[in-house]
Formats: sequence, structure tokens, C-alpha cells
Amino acid sequence: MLIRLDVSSAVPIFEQVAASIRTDMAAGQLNPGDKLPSARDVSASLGVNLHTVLRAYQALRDEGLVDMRRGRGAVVTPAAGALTDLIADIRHLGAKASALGIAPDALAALVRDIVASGPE
Amino acid sequence: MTETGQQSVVSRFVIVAMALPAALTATAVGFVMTWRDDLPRPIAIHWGASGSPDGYGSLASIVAVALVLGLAVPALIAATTLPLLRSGARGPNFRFMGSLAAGVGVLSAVLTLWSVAMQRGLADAHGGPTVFPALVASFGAAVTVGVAAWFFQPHQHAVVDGLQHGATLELREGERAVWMRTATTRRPIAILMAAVVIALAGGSLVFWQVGEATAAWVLLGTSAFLLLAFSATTTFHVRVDEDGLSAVSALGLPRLGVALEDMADAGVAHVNGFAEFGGWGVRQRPGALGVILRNGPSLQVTRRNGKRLIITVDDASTAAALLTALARGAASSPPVSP
Repeated sequence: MLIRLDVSSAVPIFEQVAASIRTDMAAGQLNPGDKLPSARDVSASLGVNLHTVLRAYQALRDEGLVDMRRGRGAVVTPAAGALTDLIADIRHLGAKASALGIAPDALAALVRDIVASGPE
Repeated sequence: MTETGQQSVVSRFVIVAMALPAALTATAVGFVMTWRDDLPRPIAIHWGASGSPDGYGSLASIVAVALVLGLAVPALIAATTLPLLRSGARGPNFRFMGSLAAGVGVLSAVLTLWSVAMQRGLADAHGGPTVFPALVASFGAAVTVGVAAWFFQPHQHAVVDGLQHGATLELREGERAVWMRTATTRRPIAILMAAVVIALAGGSLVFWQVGEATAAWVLLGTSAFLLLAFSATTTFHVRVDEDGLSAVSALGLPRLGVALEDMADAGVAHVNGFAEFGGWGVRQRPGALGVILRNGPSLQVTRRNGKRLIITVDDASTAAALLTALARGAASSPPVSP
């Protein structure tokens, strides 16, 4: 599991942590049943607050991607496995956008707005 | 090493590890088959701690043991080692594996011949001669031939597979990253280990009930020791961050790692536990320490002194790429000198 974050970015750190983990799920590096490392270990390695990491885990739980049980830690759910179905389409879309000179952030905003506006 | 030297490593390994055990086993089995009319029926096939026979069976069972020990075991050693030698891997471990296969072949052949020959002409195997001279002779011959096989094979400078640097990873200035992964033994092996521990504990219970308290304690102690050893060496939490690489057993100990300042190179290479380390677990060979939980791709980190830490973990290429990126970042922004 690879977590990357940029403290100078405008994106909140907990969102960056959650996004990294989500990417690992989509790429098949984290699979249903895998246990996420303890939030304490992650916070120590990244030099960020424990509560920031816990907030990221809670965000993933709210999305149904991890299951948090007392004493068992955070476990990746089967729903996270479905993300792997998207990776080929996302890479394809990304390559197309890049060829058209559209930046990833602009593409993400486009995807968000168009998906939010519902089916055509 | 010259091309001919490379060739002789492989051909001499084939001679000591395959041809010699096969020839000896064939000879031993051939001889005992010609003696079959001179032997008592049944013959002694097992001897107790006092050296006198306590198990009896047919000649076929002796031949079966001779085939497994004298043919199958060396063949297994050769099958795991030879492909690596042929692909160019070198090291004293491979030379030792050749010697081991030769020694096992000799042990099997001498033991088979001697333990059957000493029963020729007996009317009844009960009360037959002690097996000790056969044991001493076969172990002595095995060690002698094993040492000879070591010197018969050419010296092998450890040539470790070159590290592959597949993935690359760019860290922007101010970007932080951590990579974490749990490395475990494959499930069938873990189940086998659990079965051994449970069987020993169960055996202890049986001995306890029949009143053999000493045996019960010995089995219980062995079971507890194995449980501890297995749990310390089957699951490792592997982490790459700004401090470098660390691998901590699920039990908390042992802890292994390489500090980022001490790292010279990080990459991925294929590892075969049996051929390169003589087994699995936390393993050492000249120039390398390994957490070898399976065969396959592994994360390999070379220290500045040339020694290597090897961990069989999935997604090793990402870990190696991150270590390389972190080291590059640390080098480009050195601490302010006083």
C-alpha cells in the first residue's frame, strides 16, 4: 500500500490519504479481506496527526470501501474489489485527456460535474 | 570466471548430485536383490534405540526407502538447484547442495547394503545383529564423500542476480510517502505449520492420559517452542518511509531493516529459498540476510558495505522505487552543515 501526500497542497491531508488508499484498491494492490496498516503506524511514518489518518479511514468506511471493527482494525470490503473494474476505463480516459491537453484536475472536475448532472 | 569454468560448475554438480546418487542407489538395490534368497523372511527393517531390531518387513520396503532416500531426495535437491545454476546463479550454497545430495546418496546406499548384508544367512531376523556399525559406517562414508564432493566442484564466487529496477517513482518537493505491506507465508504452509503444532499438543495430551508425564512435557514443550518459532517467522510487516526499510515480525521480534543513509541500491530480484538459502524463514547466507517466506519476486536492498537484505514481499517494485526516490530526495537536500 503506497500513500503519498503533499502538505503544501490545498487538498486536505485526510483526503489525500484516502485518495492514495482508494487508488491502491483500484490498482488491485489492496484486495478485499486485506487489513490496512494501523492508523498509528501510518501517522508515524508520514509524520501527520493520528486523527488525520483515522479521519481518512472513516471517510473510506463511509464510502463502504473498508470495514472497521473494534480489535480487528480496518479491513478492505468486497466493494473495494469493484473499483478494479474501473481502472482500465480510467487509464483510457486519462490518456485521451492527456492527448487533448486536459490536465488531470480539470478532467476530474469534468467527470464529477457530468456524473453529478445525471444521465443525458 | 571463464566460460569453461561456468560449464564445469554445472557438469560437476550433475555428477555429484545426480549421477553419483543414482549409480550408488542402483548398485545397492541391485546387490540386495541378488541376496534375496539368503535373507530371513521377514527381515529386520527397523532398529530400536538399543540397536537391536524392533521392526520387520519385506525386502521391498527396504528397497522403497533406498529409492526415496537415495534417489528422490537428491533429485529434489537437484531439481531446485540445477535450474538456478544453469541460469548463471553461483554461490557456496549451490556447491553445498551438491555435496549434500552426494552425501545423502552415499548414506542411503551404505546403510541399505550394510543393514541387509548383515542379515544374510540368518534363519530368523529376530535377535539379529545391532545396526550401530552400519549407522557409523554410512554416516562416516556420507561425510567423507560429501567433503570430497565439495572439493570436486569448482569454487563458486557468489554471483547474485542483478537487481531489476522496473518501476520509477517521482516525489515532488515537499511530498511525503510511505509504503506498507504484510508479507506472509503461503496459506498451505501456514496450515501445515498449525497442523504440526496441534498434532504435537494432541500427542502430549495422549501421553498425559496414559501416564507418560515426561513424554507429555517434552511434546508440549516442543509444541510451544514451534508455535513461538513459527509465529515469529511467518508474518512480517514491511514498511518503507523516510527512515528507510523496516520489517517487523507480527510477534514484534525479530526486527530487520536498512536505514536510508545506509542504502546503496534497491531493486527486485527472483529468489528461491531452498536453493539460495537452504530453506525458508529468516535466513542467512554469505553477504545476505533474508526474510524468505516464499519463492518468487523479492525486495532486495544493498547496503553501502555490499551486504543485502532480501524480503519476499508482493509489490516489491513499488517499494524499491519509493526507496530509490526517498534516497534521491535525501541526497539532493542534505542536512545543513555546521
